[in-house]
Amino acid sequence: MNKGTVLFQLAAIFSIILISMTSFAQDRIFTYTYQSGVLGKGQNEIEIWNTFRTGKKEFSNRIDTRAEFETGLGGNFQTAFYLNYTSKSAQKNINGLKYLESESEYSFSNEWKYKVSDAAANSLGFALYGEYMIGTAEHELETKFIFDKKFRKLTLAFNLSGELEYEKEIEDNEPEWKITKKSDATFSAAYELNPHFHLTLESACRNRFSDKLESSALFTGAGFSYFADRFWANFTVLPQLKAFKGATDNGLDLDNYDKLEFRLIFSYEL
Amino acid sequence: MSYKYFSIAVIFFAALLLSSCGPALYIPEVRDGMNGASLNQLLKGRELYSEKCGSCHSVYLPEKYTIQEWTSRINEMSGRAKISREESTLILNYVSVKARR
Repeated sequence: MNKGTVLFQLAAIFSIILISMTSFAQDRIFTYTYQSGVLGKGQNEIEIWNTFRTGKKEFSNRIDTRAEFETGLGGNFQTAFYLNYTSKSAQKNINGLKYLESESEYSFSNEWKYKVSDAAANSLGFALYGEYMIGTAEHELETKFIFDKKFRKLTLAFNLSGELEYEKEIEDNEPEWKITKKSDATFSAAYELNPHFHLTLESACRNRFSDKLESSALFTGAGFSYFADRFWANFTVLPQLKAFKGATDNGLDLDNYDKLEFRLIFSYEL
Repeated sequence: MSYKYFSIAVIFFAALLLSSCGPALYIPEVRDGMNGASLNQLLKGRELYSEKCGSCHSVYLPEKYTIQEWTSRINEMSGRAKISREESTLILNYVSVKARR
């Protein structure tokens, strides 16, 4: 782990210690799929996300760390601010010469979420979600439709999302913005073993478009969620199972997506 | 399985599962009467709980906390959510019926 990552995580942990506490943490169970719940007015949470991706066609490792400050605005609205740090190393080939290229980037994101109906009080929970991200070489716009439902021990959630990614690239010696359209569907289920512990199953179908569908891959994995009063932690291992379009290796798309992902989110209510 | 059929199957099953059954937050019945609260009072408690608490955050199932925990949490939140003493009592009566023992 490099110096930037360590400093970034220390700053986030230090900010947690500095601030006082109340009660009622948000019940986020999944790591990839969002739920319709929002924080109450004046409630605040710090979340630290770590996602490790590995296993492209040629050597590639990537860590994304996000420090999120989430706050409830009341009236079913919630907003969150993120500081994002990405570090990646990948094998490159130029004129037959192989070398390892490492790069890192900071960016800022802001999300807004509006809960339309509740997963427990209503027959179906539903929320609208929007997020923008500003980086030095990349900008993103993302929207989601979030559906979820709570049974006694079982929680189900389903998201449909669309994303526009603007990435600065050098093409024919000229800088230009490359636009990628993405659309994901995620579906997750969680079973409550006891009030503090859930087992989770998450599935994501990720798609990239230009004029038409360019690549599509299915990821499915398992994880757990631990909840204790003001603290929760969720972990999921998400391997790529099948590429519906754009397969490169044994039915997987290892050009656009990684073979394996791990995500850990831990949160503390302030 | 092709991408098209897979997408249709996922969306169909997701919609079916998510929209099936009623809400998880229990709807009081006659047998739920407790602490002298009538069925109408419990129904009013559910309505207030969904509206006053659920308008700001996700509602928690009554089974999640004990009566003591509910009492302190409702007292703590009633000021913030502008819930009167009378309304707090109705909400507490409602959640107490299924509170964790």
